Amino acid sequence: MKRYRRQFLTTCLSIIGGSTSFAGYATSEVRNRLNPLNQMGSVLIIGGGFAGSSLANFITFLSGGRIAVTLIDKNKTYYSCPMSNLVLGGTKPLSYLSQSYDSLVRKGVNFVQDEVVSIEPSKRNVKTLTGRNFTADKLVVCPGIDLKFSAIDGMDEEARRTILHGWRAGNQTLGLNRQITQMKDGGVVLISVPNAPYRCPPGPYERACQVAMYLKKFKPRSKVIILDANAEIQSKKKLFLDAWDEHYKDYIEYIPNFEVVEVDKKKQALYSQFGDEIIGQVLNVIPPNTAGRIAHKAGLVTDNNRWCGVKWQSMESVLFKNVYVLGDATLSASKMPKSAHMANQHSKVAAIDIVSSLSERDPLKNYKIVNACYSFINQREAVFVTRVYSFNSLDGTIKPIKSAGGLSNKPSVVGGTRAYLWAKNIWADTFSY
Amino acid sequence: MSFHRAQFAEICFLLLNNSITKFLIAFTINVFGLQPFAVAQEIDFEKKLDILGLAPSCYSCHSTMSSPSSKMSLNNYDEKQFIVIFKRYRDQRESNPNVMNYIAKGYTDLEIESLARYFTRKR
Repeated sequence: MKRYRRQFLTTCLSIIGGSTSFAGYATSEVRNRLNPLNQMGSVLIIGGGFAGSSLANFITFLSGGRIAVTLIDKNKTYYSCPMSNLVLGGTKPLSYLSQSYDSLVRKGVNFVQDEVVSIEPSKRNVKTLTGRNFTADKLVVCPGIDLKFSAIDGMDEEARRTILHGWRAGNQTLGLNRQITQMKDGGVVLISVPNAPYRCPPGPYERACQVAMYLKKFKPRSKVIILDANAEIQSKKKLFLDAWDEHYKDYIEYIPNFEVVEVDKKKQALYSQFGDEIIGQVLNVIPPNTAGRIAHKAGLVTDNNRWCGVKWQSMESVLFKNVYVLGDATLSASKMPKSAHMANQHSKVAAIDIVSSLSERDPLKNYKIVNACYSFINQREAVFVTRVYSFNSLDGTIKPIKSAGGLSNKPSVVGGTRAYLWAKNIWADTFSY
Repeated sequence: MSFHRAQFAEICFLLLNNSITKFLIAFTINVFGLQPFAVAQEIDFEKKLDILGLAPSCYSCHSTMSSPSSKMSLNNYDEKQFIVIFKRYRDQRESNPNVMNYIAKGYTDLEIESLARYFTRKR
């Protein structure tokens, strides 16, 4: 008798399971979200960038909408940092980077436009600027990076109006583009690179390519000087050096071990740790990076007063249970860059852990995640670097797989086409098109 | 008494295995939004748990979840084709490798086969 009952039940469930493909996902998701009896739990996500938005999307997908997801971000529109150097060089308009949360909302995510002012991690309690309180079973903090202006003398609020970083896309990108296009021919664009680790290791060098491409075309007596706080180029070194040699010989100059510690806005000068002075017409200073301010305020920072330590099995904070940290704000694992692709991948690990935990299942024991990163040399040609990482619960760490990963041989149009496709797809996956 | 119960269960079992009945039940559940869907989601998730350590990382580039019509969607392959292409990326020496030539080297035969099963059945 028991055998029949089990068969009967299994058959019912398999039919019901199969039925999901008949009517489409979205309807079922919204239906389940509206029915409180179906709720498995709730998740509160702070920060709607690549980590936070893709987490909202993937939790909704995995749970079939049965986990209530609230996503808080102070902006209504998100501007993608990946591809933003193309805006600086004039290849793309700012609107190309703009991402909306509308599609996530349509899939059942509760998007709240507000600024989080305080977090009580032990209670998973969040307060916002407008005085609202939020709480949930799981709290996920995805604050991205903050910039340590205080590490640079003279970088006060007044100086920051004209000395731009462009390291968070949007108005900064547009402002920097305007400065470059308004600069007289014969001018110098200074791009400073902070000490590693920082967001997007190849970003400043790609930026130099895009600005040099513009200068070569429209202001041929001008040039870019890269002032790198590090001893060498941090990513795709040979590829960038070859590209500069081939395309931008008189347009890009590279100075290593130049850490910008002081700015003089009136003189348009930057100073190194040794007191060297260099003057430019456009000053693009990228200050040292650290975890987003709210992570500091919430006491989630564990390392060197800069980054948040996480358990790589789940992306849960090492300090607080049921509180997760994703994306650039985390203390990176071995050879793991702070990139949009990595942030998107973090969200997959966290989503699986959250859904497993809320449905009382064991967490993942092993997983593999990937990073892929393209950099444009000009409008059409790009280079890439990629790596695969493996997590094993036996040793509890995530490591790059030695036999996998590598760099492109040279810049190529095929690489460029794939880079555009990569952007289109990761935006779709993150913002749930 | 127990004999009758067993007979009843068997009739139900046979009836439910009939494809027309399957369709009618599926249709009813989807149209009228009946509760058991929630249970189905749980079962589905449990089955996927192991492959979830591998497959989601593909979504970032291959927006399988969001846009099946995308140029890079993995939904356009059948299982055998998926395995052949993945292994070709991994095993063939390329003079000008692309991202997948490097990524594929991080996966074993068994993992590639699981991925193929997951993505092609998902369609």
